[in-house]
Amino acid sequence: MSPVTGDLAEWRSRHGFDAIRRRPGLLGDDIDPLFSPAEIDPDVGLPGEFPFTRGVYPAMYRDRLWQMRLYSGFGDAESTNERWKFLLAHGNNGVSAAFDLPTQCGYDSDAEGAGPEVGRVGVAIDCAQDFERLFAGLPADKMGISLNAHSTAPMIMALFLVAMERQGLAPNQIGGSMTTDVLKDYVARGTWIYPPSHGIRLVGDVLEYCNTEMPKFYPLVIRGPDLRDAGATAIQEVGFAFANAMAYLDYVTQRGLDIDKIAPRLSAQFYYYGDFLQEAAKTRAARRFWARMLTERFGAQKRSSTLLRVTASVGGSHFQAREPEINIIRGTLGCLGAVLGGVQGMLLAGYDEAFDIPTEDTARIALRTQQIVGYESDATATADPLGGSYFVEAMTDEFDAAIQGIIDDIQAHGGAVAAIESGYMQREVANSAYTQELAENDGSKPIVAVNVFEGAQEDRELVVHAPDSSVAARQRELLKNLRATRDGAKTRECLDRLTAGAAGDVNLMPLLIDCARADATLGEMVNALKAVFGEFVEPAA
Amino acid sequence: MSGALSDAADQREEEPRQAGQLRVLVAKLGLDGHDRGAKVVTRALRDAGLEVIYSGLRRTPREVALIALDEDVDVVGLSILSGAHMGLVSQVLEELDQLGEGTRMPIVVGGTISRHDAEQLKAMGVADVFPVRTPLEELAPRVRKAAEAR
Repeated sequence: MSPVTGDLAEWRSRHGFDAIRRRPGLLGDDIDPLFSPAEIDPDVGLPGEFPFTRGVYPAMYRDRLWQMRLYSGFGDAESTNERWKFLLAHGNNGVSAAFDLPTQCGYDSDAEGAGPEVGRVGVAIDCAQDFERLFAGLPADKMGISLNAHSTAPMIMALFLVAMERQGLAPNQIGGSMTTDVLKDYVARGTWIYPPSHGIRLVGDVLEYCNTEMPKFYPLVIRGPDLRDAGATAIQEVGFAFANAMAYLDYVTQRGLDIDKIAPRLSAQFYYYGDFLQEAAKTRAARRFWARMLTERFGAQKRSSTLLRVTASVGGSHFQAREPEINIIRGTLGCLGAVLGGVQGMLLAGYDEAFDIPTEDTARIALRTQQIVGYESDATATADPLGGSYFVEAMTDEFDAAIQGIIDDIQAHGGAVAAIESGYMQREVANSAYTQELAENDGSKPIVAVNVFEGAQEDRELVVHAPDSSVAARQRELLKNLRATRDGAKTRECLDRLTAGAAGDVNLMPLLIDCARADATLGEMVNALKAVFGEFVEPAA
Repeated sequence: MSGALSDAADQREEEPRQAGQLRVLVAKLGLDGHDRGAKVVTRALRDAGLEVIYSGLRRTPREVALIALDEDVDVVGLSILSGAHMGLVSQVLEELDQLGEGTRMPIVVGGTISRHDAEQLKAMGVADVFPVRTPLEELAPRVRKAAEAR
C-alpha cells in the first residue's frame, strides 16, 4: 500500500517518527521529517505574476542571471579604486562601496577619536574630491553602483552626485542603489546619528529627490542582513525589515508622495545561511507578503509597485573563523539558497570575512562561487525549480504567516519607530542572539569544526588584508588643504542654509548638494543638521 | 563623539551589591556598533552571578576609564570588532593609568582578535583575551581569575 494513499499517521508511527531526533528549523519549530501533498496549496501562481511567490520574471535566470557583486572598500579612495578595477576585470557587474565607520557615523577623518577607524572597515570619504578619486577612470554611467550608506546616506549622495557632476554626469545618468534604510541602524550596527523621527525624514527627502531626479536609481534598500547579523531569527529579519519599510511608506504617503512612484524603486536585502531550502522559502514568502502589503495597506495600483526585487547577502555570522577555507562551502550553500529563492543580486563575502576585509584572492573565490552556481549548475535552468516541493511550499506558507505575526507585534508596540525608541525591537533581537548563542554553545545547533567534529586542529593564522595606517594622516592632510583653499564664506553660508532648512520642512537634498558643491565635508553637513535634530540616545539595554 | 556618561548607570540592573559579588564593566569603544557579542557576554556573566554594567555604544577610552572608576568595577571588559583593538586598548590602559594613579584594574578584551594580536595585547598588560567563539561557560571563571590578579 502506498503511504500517500494509506493512513499516513499510522505509517509515520510504524517508522518511528515520534522518536526521531528534533531538528529545529528557521521558524523555530521542529521540522517534520516528512511533508506530503495534503499540506500544500497547489496553486502558487506563475513567476512574473502577482503575488510573485515564484519570482519576479517569467523565465527568471534564463533571461538574465543576478547581479554579482562584492561589497568592497578599504583604506582611501585610491586603494579602493584599484580593488574595484581588479573586481570589474574579473566579471563583477558593478561596485558596492563599503564605507569606514567615521563616514557611516558622520565624522570627518580628522575628528577627535576617529583616527584608529579611518579606512579600516571601508573606504574613508570626507568630501566630494574623495568620490572623484574613488571613481577615477571608471565609467560611472555604465555600471551599477551600490552605496552602502545608512544614517549618512543623504550626505553621501550629495558628495557623490557633486563628484559625478564634476566628471560631467547628471543624476539621471546614474544607475545603482543606496541602502538609506536608517531604522535598522538603531537595532543593529549602531551607526545611528539623529533620533529615528528625524532619520525617517531624511529617508523621505532622499526618496522624493530620487523620484524626480534619478529615475535609474534605487534609493532605498530595505535591509534584513544587519538585523540577522545582530542575532535576529530569519523571521525577525524579514518581519522587522518590513515593519521598518512600512514606517517609511506610511511616512512618505503622509507627506503626499504617490505610492506608485516610490514603491517601484524599492528593493530588499536578506541573508542566506546554510538552511538553503528554508532560506529559499523565506524569499518566496517575503515577495508574496510584500505584494499583498503594498496592495492592501498602501493601495498600490501598479504591478511594479508590488514586485519585490531581492539582493542576497551571503557570509556574515554564517561564516566561521575556525578553518576559514570551509566557509567557501558555506558560501556555496548560501548562494544556492539565494538562487533557488530567485534573487536579483548577490553580495557573497570572502571566506576570510570573519577576520577582515577580503584579499584579492578571497574576493576572486567569492565571485567564482557565484559564477559556478550561475553558469555550471542547473539551479538557473528553470524558473523556481523548488515550486511545488511539499516542504518548500509548506515552509513558504509558514514564513508568510510568521512575518505577519511579527508585523502585528510591532504594530501593537506602536509601529517601528516607537518600537525602536522604547528599545523593544533591540531587546527582541538581543534575546534571539542569546538563544542562538546557547544553542551553538551546547552543540544543539551544529557547526562543523566549531562545535562538532572539531578534530585536533590548530588554529591557523590567515594571511589577512594589511591595514594601511597612513590613510588617516593622508585624509587629514587632504582635509587641511581643502579647508584652506575653499571659499570658506560660501561653505559657511551653504551650511547655515542647511541648518535653517532642517528647522523647516523643505527637502534637504538640494541644500546638501549645494553644501557639497561648496566643498563642505561630510562631518560639517552632519553637524549642521545635529544643531536642529539632536542625537539619538540609546534606550537601556 | 560621546553620549552622556550618566547613561551607563541607567543600563545597569538595579540590585544591591552582594558581598563578594564581582562587578564588571562591559564596554564598547569607538564607532564599532556591533554589540551582539557585548550583549551576549553581559547576559552570560549576569546569568553566572556577576554584576555587569554595560556602557552602551561609542564610548571614548577616557569615558570607559571614568565609568570604570566611578562604578568601582573589579574588571573592565572591552568588546571590539572593528579591528582597531590595538590602538583603542592601549588608550584605555593609558587613561586608567592616568586616572587610577598606578592602581590599574584588570582589563579583558573580546572580539575579532587574531592569536598574534592576542599575544601582543597580553604583553601590553591585558589580563585575558576572548576571541570570537570562546565558550560561554569559560567567561565568568576567566573574568574572576583576571580579577584576582588585581
